[in-house]
Amino acid sequence: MNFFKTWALLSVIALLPLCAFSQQSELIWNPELSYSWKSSDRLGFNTKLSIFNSVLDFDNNAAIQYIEPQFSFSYGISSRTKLGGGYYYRLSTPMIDGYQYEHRFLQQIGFISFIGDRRLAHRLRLEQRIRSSSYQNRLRYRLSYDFPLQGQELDPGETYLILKDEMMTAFNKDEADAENRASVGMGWYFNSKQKFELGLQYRTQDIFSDGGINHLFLISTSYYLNR
Amino acid sequence: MKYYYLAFLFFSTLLVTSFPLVSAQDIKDENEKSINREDMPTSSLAMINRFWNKEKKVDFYRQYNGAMISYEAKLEWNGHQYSIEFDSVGSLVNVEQLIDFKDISVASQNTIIEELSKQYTRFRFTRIQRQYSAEKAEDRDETLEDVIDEDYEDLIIRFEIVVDAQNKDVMGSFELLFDEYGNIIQKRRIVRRSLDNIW
Repeated sequence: MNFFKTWALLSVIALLPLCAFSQQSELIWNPELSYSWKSSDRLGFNTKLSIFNSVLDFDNNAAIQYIEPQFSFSYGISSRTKLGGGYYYRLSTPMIDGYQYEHRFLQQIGFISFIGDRRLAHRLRLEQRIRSSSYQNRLRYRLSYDFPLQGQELDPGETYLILKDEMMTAFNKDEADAENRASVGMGWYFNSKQKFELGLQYRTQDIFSDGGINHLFLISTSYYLNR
Repeated sequence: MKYYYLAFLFFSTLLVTSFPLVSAQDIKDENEKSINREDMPTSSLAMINRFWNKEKKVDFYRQYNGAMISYEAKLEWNGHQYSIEFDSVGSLVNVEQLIDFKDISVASQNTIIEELSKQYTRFRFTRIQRQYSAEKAEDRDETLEDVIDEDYEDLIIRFEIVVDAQNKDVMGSFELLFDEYGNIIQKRRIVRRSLDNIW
């Protein structure tokens, strides 16, 4: 497979919504650093630092939209099914006076199927977001698929493609809304302990809002470390 | 503002570089690369061409296990998926045929189930292959012809079975090799890629 052609094609598809770039659009660079380890075959842990940077405000104090340290754990109830939970803390606009925070608790279940070294993962997640100004629940479903670009197995030094789509609804006693996140990414698998992913994501936000849909375009650079 | 980005870059680099990119433990046993037909050893291609013409869809791979190179041809024939493995000079190593568990004799099935039940409380078959190899080294290059002719007299038959399995202490994917009668020969754990990017 000519993976450069594939990558170019998928990039075009992912960036097509850029045509809709307007006043209600945002462009974000999201660097992430993830570290995972397992204490047994069943129990695994993950910590991650995720930062949202507004590309359009890169030259001022509004550049950092938020900094989010994350912690999560998972328990394998079978080799394909995992239960998990976690806690995220979000510090919003840290460079601006009057910053806001959010405590987030999450519970999730995931099911993974393998077709050789191709992986298809379903994830259902429930979140409770306790913000400095409000409270919100969120129900999310994500479908992820990744596969090697050279051969049937992903070997060290090779690349892979990852496709994801996530649908979610956010609600509290006063209001409810929905969002979709479609993304395409390319990964560089250095070895079993390190990989890097470059991703493009298009978020369709505030779908049911009277104010109209908000478009968010996100470029992610994620580095994954495993023990 | 730029100090914040510099600090983030510095600490990220520090953390990333503290993990060696290559170490002895990181090297996977088999590194497989898709290759073109013309990159296969001549004698292995001659063997393939003897039974299937060039129009037949065949995928070719080069494998490196850290010590030696081998080649593999994968094709579908008579309703089964076949993997034909050759050594670095193109001599045939074995022929593997993808099968269902019910294709194994009932007596061998029972022995295999008994062995798996001893080792695991729950298991599920994910891949079963019948492996044919020559009894004598000098007959290696006749293995493919014997398989096609269904002449198994001079062949060693084994079953390579991959299971998702668990017991009180372990959980994961395992590759087990059984002889023709279902007696276990070898077991090894399959190390799956981390799920951190899709979970």
